[in-house]
Amino acid sequence: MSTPILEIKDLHVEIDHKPILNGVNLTVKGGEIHAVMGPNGTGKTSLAQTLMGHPHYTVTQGEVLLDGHDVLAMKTDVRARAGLFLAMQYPSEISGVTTANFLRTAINARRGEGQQIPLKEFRDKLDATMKFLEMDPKFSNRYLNEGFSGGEKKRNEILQMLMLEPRIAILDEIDSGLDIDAIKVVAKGVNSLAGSNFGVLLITHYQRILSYVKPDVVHIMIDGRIVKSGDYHLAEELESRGYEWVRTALLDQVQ
Amino acid sequence: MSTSTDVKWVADLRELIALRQNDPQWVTDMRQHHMDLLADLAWPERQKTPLRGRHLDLIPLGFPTSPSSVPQSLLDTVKSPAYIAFANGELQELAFLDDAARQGVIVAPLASAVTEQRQLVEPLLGHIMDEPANRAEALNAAMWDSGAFIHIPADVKVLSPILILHYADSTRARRFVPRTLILAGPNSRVTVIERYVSSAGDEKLLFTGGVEILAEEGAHIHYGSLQNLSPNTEVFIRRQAEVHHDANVDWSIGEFGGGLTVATDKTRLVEPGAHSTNTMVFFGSRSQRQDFDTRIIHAAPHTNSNIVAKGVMTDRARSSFTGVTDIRPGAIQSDGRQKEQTLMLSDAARADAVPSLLINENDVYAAHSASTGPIDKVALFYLMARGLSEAAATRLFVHGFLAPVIEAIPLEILRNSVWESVEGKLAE
Repeated sequence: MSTPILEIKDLHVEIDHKPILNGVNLTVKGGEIHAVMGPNGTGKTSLAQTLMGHPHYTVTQGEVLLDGHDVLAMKTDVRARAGLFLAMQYPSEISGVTTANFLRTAINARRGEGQQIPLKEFRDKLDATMKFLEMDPKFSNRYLNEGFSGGEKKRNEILQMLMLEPRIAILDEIDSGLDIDAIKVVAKGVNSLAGSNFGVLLITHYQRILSYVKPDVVHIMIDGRIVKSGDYHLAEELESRGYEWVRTALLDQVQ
Repeated sequence: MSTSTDVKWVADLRELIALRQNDPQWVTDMRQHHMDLLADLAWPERQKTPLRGRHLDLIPLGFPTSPSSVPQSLLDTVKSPAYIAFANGELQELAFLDDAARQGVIVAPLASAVTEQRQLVEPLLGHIMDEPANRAEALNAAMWDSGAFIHIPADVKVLSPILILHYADSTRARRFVPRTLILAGPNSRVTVIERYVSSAGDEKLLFTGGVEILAEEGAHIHYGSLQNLSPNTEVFIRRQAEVHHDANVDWSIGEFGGGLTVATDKTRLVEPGAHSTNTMVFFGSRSQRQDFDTRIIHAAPHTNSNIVAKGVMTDRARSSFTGVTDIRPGAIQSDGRQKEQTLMLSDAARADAVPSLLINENDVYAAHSASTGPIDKVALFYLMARGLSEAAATRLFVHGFLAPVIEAIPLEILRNSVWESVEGKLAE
C-alpha cells in the first residue's frame, strides 16, 4: 500500500457549543513521527478524538484528509479500516469480551468477508506480539481492559496497534502513568512499525517518551492551536523552560 | 366479552376434553374441574403489561389442531441419547438410553404416564403447582396435551441431559398447551432441557405451558428452558418447583420469542438445606412485550437462593421483571439474593426491573440490585475505532453483557442454543 498522508487543515471543533480547537493545521506522512505537546486542557485529546470521530465532538470548520479522502465524512469504523488508529488515553472496559476475541473480530472486520484470518495464524501472531511487548499471555483471555491497571491498559492499546497494523497511529498520552520500563516497552512497540507505510501522531505531556520514540517534528499546542513547530530540540527546550515560557513568549509572538 | 360468548367458548372446549378418549377418569375429572374454574378467572393481571387490546378471548381455541411434524433441522438439534419431541400436541419421537431404563428412569409422554404411572403421577400433577389463579393457568390445567413425565428413582444419576422439544405449526393449530412433570427421587441427579418452537403464521397462536418439579431429599435438578416461539404466539408459562431437604433446583431460562410473554416462576424451598438458583436471559425486539415474575420462597431454615436476570431490549420492545425473594418466618440462617440488569439498544425500548425482598425473619442474609441503562456510546466508539461496524460493535457489546450469565450455563448444548437465539435476535 502507498505511503499514507494525513492532512489536517484549519480544523475547528466544539464540544457542547464550546470551541476547543481553533484552526489546527498539521500534516503527517508515512515514515514520520510527529509529537504534539502542550499543557493540560489545550485541545490535544480533542484533536485525537476528533480525528477518530468521537461522538461528543462537533467539527465546525476545516477538513481532514487521509490520502486525499474526506475523513470527516467517514464513520469511525470506516476511518479505522482506512488505516487510522487511536490509542486512547482512557480505553473503555468491555465486560464479557476477551481481548483475544475482540482483536480477532477487529482484524476480520478490516479484512472483510471471505478473507478471515485463520485461527492458527491469529494465535501465533498474538502470542508473538504479546511476548514482544512483555505481556503475560493470560491477558488475551481476560475481558478487554476490565480491571486492568493503567499501565496494562496502555500496553493493551499498543498490542492492538501492532495486531491491526494501522497506517497512521494517533497515540494519546500513551506514556501517562507509565514507569520508565513500561515506556521503553511501549516505545519498542511503536518503533517496530516504523517505515514509510506508518506515520505517528504522538500526543504527550512530557518529553520523556521522546527519548525513546524520536520525533521528526515537534508541535506545541496551546488554546486549541499549534503555536510553534520545530525539530526534536523544541521538546528539550520546552522541558527545560516549561509551558509558561510557551504561553508568554510564543503566544505573544503569534499575536 | 359477553357472557353468552363465554358460555359458547367454554362449551367448545369441554367438547375437546370429551374427545380425549385415552384419558383415565381421574384426568378427565381434573380437566373438567379446571374447565369449571375457567369462566370465572380473568387473564393474568400484570401492572406493566396490560393485556386488554390483545383480544386473547378471540383466539379460537376450539379450532381443531391437525397433525404436523417437527422440521428435520429442528429435530436434529435435540437428537441425543434421551429426547422426546412433540408436534402439534402429539408425540413424534422418543429416544431413551437403555442404561437409564434399566435403572428405572422413566421418560414418557405425560398423556400416557397418567395411565401407566398413575401411582406416581396422580399425587403430583397439579399439586406441586399452585391452584390456577388465572385463565391462562386454568387453560393449561384443563387442556394440556403434549409434555413429558420424567421420574428419576432414588440415587440414580442420569449423566446425559434429557431434551424435550415442543413444536407447533401455526398453520394447523391455534393452541399450544404443553405440560411437564419432573420427579427427582432422593439423591438423584438429572438435567432436563425443554424447548418451545412454533412456525410463524398470520393467525394468533395461544401458548400456555406448565412445568412442575419436585426435588426430593438430596436431589439435584438442573432445568433449562428455551423459548423461541414465533411472533404470532401469545405466551403464558408457569413453572413451579418444590425443593426438599438439601436438594437443589437450578433453573436456566431463556425467553426470546412470542409476541407477548407472561412468565411466572416460583420455587418453594420447603425443607432445611434446600437451594435454588434462577437464571434468566431475555431478549425483546420489535413490538414484543415480556413480563416476568420470578419468586423464591424460603419456607425453612438454612435455605439458599439466587435470582439472576439479564435482558436486552431493542426496537420498541418492553419488558418488566419482578423478582421476589420471600423469606418466611422461621427460615433462619437463610440467604437470598437477586440481581437484574437490562441493556437498552434503542431509545424506544423500555424495561422495568423491580426486585423485592420480603423478609419476615431476623437472622438472614438478603441482597438485591437492579439496573437498566442504554448501551455505552463511548464503549461503542472504542470498539468502532478498531474497525468494527456499529452493528458488529453492538453485537460484541451485547455478547459481553450476556456472557457472564450464558457462559455460566453448565450445559454446552443449552449454552450454544441460547447464544444462537441471541445471534438470531441481533440479526433481525
